[in-house]
Amino acid sequence: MEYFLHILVMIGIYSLVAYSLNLTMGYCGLLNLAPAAFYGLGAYGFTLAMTKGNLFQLVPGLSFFISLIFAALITGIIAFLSGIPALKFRKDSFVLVTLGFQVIIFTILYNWIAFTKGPYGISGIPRPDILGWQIDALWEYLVLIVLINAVVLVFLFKLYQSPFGLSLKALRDNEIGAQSIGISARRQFLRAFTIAGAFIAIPGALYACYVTYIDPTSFSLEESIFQVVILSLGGTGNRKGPIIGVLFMIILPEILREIGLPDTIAPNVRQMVYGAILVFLMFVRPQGLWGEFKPK
Amino acid sequence: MKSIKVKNLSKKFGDVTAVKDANVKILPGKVTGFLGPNGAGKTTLFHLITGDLAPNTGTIVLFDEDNGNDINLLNLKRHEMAAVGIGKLYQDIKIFDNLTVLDNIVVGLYNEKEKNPLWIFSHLKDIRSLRKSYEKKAIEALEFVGLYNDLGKEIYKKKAKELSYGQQKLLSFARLIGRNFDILLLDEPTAGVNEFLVKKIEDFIKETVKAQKTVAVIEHNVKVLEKIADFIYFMEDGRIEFFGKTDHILNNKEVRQRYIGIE
Repeated sequence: MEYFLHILVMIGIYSLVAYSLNLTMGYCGLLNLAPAAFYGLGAYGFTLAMTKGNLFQLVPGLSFFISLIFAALITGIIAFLSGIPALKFRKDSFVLVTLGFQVIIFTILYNWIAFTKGPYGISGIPRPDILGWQIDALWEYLVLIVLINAVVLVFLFKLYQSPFGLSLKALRDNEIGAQSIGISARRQFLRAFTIAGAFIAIPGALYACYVTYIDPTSFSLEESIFQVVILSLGGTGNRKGPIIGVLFMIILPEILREIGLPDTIAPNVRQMVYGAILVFLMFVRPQGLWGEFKPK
Repeated sequence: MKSIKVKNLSKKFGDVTAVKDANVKILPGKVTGFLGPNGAGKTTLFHLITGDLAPNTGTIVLFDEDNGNDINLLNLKRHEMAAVGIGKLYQDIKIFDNLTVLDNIVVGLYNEKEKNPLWIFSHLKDIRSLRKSYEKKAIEALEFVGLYNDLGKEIYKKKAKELSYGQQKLLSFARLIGRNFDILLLDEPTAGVNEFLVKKIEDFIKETVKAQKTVAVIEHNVKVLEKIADFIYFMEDGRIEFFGKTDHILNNKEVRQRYIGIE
């Protein structure tokens, strides 16, 4: 039962990641290779606010939410600042610039020991305490994740359907055509990049207080690729694709685990199976299992 | 009514001068045609006017007769052209493949405030009625070009990429109609469409100028220009070679030899 609840919690965390990333990858058609960096900034921002920021303890019982919002705001600001140079580029160049951000942010998290404790990581991250409700049990954590998903996804789904979301899709399909009818690519893309960055910080924060220990290796390029693959497999540009990708990528390893491969080769086989599935899918369904938009 | 005045405009690509010292007036309430062989610089001239390219020298000014205002178009970015009333039909149409036929037009109708991500959260109640009113406008534009008759309720579901080329061209016209631009720059509007659609496009251009709008059109089909254009600029090798009333230019011996004769 514990194991089952853990899988559900991870699905909840990655659903927030996927739907946030969907805004840039699916709605803008911009392949961002730094989602794990922003996810990590969310985790560290939250952790530092919870553990070091006495300021955040001012309102008893609400420090969890205040730290969560702080993490999202800080990450949103960093996403905005990184978006300014990154969005001067498109296609391959944009991918490479975001790869650069991933490397820079990871290196900072790894080496700024005074702040992040570097490779030693930060342990003892407090579990959420919301107005006296101390979240310790897995089921309690699941309830919290479901509630946060409900709020965040309602917000993101409204955004997807809004004139803003529609203008992003127009820019994605034909940037010059969209500009010619008055849509500013720079403004709209920068807004989307900032919002996606801020929202991806939320699952980062939830992950930190779920595992109660973070170190930079959880936010490496490999994690970014994992998050991008979730969307590539599930599909983007709509509400169905991301969750299909999350279910696939979280449940598949568990199924592969059941096959009973020897522990020494199991992780490698899993990686190869992911790779093979991705190659196969690009041939037969480049828009992902349930995507609306076929990457060019 | 609005007009555009281009002065001493030049554009070089490396050693090649695509537009040489062009002086052009796109006259208010008229159809100004641009004729010339391939590579004459017509499309480059349009790209320079609409901010798709930056010129090496020259000025481009939009003049609004109604309030006497001049706007320097060289200061505007591509997306700002729409706000000052300039709409453009590109040669390669540039529709939004994955949007529905209706959304291809509706997306251009939202104003700057409505496109702000936070706007929807303070207008959750109004969004549906606003959308309905824009859909109504879009349907009127689709009716005007005849796409609504062809597709009916399918406009709500069918994606633009599922339309035929001719239908996509009509959709791009409907997008311009929906926005109700004051000046239209049309780059080869009848290229690749059948006779029936050519007639529709001619009618659309005539209706547009009747409604006090200004049109500039690049057109290879002399018969079309004869019917719709009030004035014609003849371009060759990046230069404006001739300018005058349509019948005057089309009957000019040199133009006939250089262009029509070899057509």
